[in-house]
Amino acid sequence: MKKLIIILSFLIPLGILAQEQEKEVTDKEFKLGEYAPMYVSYYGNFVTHPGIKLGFDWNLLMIEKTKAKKKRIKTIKKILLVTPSITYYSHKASHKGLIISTDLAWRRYSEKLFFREVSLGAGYFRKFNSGETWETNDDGTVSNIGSTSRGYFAPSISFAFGKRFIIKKGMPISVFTKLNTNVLTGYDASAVAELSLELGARMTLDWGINRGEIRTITKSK
Amino acid sequence: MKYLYILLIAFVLFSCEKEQDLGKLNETIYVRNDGADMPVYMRGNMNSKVVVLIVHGGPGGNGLEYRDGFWTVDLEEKYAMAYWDQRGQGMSQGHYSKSDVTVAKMVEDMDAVIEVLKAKYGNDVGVFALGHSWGGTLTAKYMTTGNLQHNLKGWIESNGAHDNLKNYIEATKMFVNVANEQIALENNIDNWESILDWVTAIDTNNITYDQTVELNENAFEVEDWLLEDEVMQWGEAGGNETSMFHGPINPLTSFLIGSMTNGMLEEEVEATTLTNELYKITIPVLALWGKYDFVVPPTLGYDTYNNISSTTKKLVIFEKSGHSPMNNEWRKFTDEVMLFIDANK
Repeated sequence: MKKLIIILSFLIPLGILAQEQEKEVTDKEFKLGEYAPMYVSYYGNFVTHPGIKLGFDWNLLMIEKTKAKKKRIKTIKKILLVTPSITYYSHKASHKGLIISTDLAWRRYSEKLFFREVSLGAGYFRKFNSGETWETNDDGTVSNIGSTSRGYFAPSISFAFGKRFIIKKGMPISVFTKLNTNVLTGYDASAVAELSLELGARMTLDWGINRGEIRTITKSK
Repeated sequence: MKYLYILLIAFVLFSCEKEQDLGKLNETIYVRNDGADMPVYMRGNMNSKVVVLIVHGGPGGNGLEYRDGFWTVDLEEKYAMAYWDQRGQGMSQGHYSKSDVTVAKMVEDMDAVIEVLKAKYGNDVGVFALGHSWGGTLTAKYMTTGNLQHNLKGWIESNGAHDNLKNYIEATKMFVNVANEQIALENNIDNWESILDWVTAIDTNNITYDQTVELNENAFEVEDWLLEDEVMQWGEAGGNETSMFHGPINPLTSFLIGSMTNGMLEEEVEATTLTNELYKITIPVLALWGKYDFVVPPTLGYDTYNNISSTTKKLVIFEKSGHSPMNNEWRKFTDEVMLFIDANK
């Protein structure tokens, strides 16, 4: 499982980069496709406890700013979006984690389609204890209650950066890395923050969840 | 998406666990008590039918940080070791209120852990509790609460802070004595003179909170000087190791939650004085102390030895050790623990 996740996480972005080099992509076309972009990433809780994250982008609004420079026209794009996702990771000999969350993100694309993103999220973080759990009973005895888990409301803040490529017309792909901080509320008698790092790829396919037209605001200077 | 979710849940719930070799135990179990799920990392040889329960320091430490080094290698070869993360520390999780973060609740937790060890591995398993530093406070409270001590075969107190008021007064005296001794030996003279100036200004009848923090900080700093001058013995690298990035402890989680729990317990721990209750203890006791422990001075070890009612008791002062003799003089420390366990199991 661990090896598979690691291999996939590195091969997908590398493969994309390799293809990109072969094709010498120069196309700067930027269109929000008909279908919602989907992404998959290696999710490392505290970087090294491996997992996988799956999600999609639900674009809400795009602002396209065009500035006329001396010799050229510069266009940057900003997108407001929500990104529902599901994450699973394994912390060996401690616990397994499942996170279901939605982030509200603000993403900015440069002229060369590099992007950076900041997002605030709200999610449900469930930790499944490793091994068996023994519980004390009211009469002072203990009994084995098998597998146990606990769930927490977990708001988050994340920062990401990446690059978008056009390999096949109409099917853009992005590679990105994302740093997340989840705050598990009501954890023990207070709260605790957890750090995680993602390495992933986002694809817009010619199938999936039909998003339809996105409201776009165009500004020029 | 729905099917993926079901698949993931099924994977989590039905993941197979390997069957354990009791001679080379390596498993994690959780103990759930009053809102807390506390991991106990089991290592070593359960065929011995002896478990050494490690009660870690802090508050704010974790069980597995005590596994590092050579001292646990022979112990794991011979006995089973239970490295327990206390409530609100290490990788413990749960839901409870601040009013559940008390020494008394942790005594209940410790009893639950001992009950679980016996229920899981057999009632014929003999449990020895080894409490270090704050773990010494907690185990002392356990030993003096009702008849709980009889759930144990023996108590090993290493540098245990069972009386914090006495602790600070004795630490102050010790700073003065050792500073004079080291100045006479011409060791780190400037540093020890500054310590002497600082400590002689402390009014031992009215030690402030800030001064207790300074006492604790300086206690660790002077250990470095004593190590430089070879008055104390350096610990050896090697032995058992718990990986920071791939081990069961997430250092960030452990640090953050431990710090918060430390803050919640601080007032109660600072006011804990158990010297007058030590007479209640009748089971075999081994007290292990570093001669140069300024965090919890050896006077408290003598305190334990002189006040308990146990007929089987021993105090060992490690001449070249500080607050953690299991690191400074691990061989001697391990030998003393094994001698004690073998005589009382």
